[in-house]
Amino acid sequence: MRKKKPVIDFKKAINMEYPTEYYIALMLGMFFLIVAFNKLMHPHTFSTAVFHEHLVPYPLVNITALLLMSLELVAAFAVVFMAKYRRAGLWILTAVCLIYTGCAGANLLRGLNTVCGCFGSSARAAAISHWTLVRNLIPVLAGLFALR
Amino acid sequence: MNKNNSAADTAKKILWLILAAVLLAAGVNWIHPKRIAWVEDWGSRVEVNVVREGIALVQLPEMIEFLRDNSRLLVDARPANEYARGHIPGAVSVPFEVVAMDGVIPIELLRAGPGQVFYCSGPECDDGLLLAIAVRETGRDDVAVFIGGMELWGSELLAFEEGAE
Repeated sequence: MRKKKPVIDFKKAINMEYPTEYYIALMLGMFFLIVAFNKLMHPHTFSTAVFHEHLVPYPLVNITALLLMSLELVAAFAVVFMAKYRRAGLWILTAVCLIYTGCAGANLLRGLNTVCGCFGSSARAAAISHWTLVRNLIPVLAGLFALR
Repeated sequence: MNKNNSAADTAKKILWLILAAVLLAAGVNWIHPKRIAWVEDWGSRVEVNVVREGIALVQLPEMIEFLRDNSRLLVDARPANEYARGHIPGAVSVPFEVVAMDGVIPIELLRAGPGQVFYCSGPECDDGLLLAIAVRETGRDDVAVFIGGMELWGSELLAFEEGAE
């Protein structure tokens, strides 16, 4: 009888050919696993964060929030546990971070003093600033480095 | 990373992951005890009108900063009895209902001075915004709205003052 391939192949998941890229991808994946799980636990908090950006048409705020957090979780899971899907997952995480950076940049340009709830939100979170852009660009650069 | 992956193969896998995410979103939101409506009426929120009016929004950390350095005039737009029950320290009471009834804006809001931040009971109340618009119509453009209002201030257990002015 033919042996069934496991969905999660931990042996193949560890790529020692490119260790730096592998560990960066792993860190990014684990970071997003925690962040996305937290968002999924409190969906209304994240949909409020999406609303505060004032960039998505208002009727689509909740759908966008649900899709974004699920996409983050699935992509992070693929990066950490599914070697064959790691590259695809990394592309998605990098794109999501780029979207967050773009949103923060757009609001900074139009002078909207709002909070970026990209990686979780708190009532005492500071409004977006140039520092928010730098912070959001770190995972983008990490993702691009791991993808090169 | 594995560089033998072709672009087409990666694109196909990205699509599979997106499909999985759509199914996860639908599934989680179906069974989640804190599930949200797929479509919610965000457009009717007061914050939307603040943005449409082009009035600056003030976040909680900035309010705390303004309180520390006394660099803004904080204006409580709620009715006087609500102000007396508790308000942000140092805020002055200018109930919007009185301004709307009399059609007169108190002189202290028209004097040259620091920028003004208006607030009321919470994100659902628009007295702060309406008062900010009324003051802006007099020619002042340094008005802002703290949309979280007393609701957010209280939820963060920040100090407040009691009593009338």
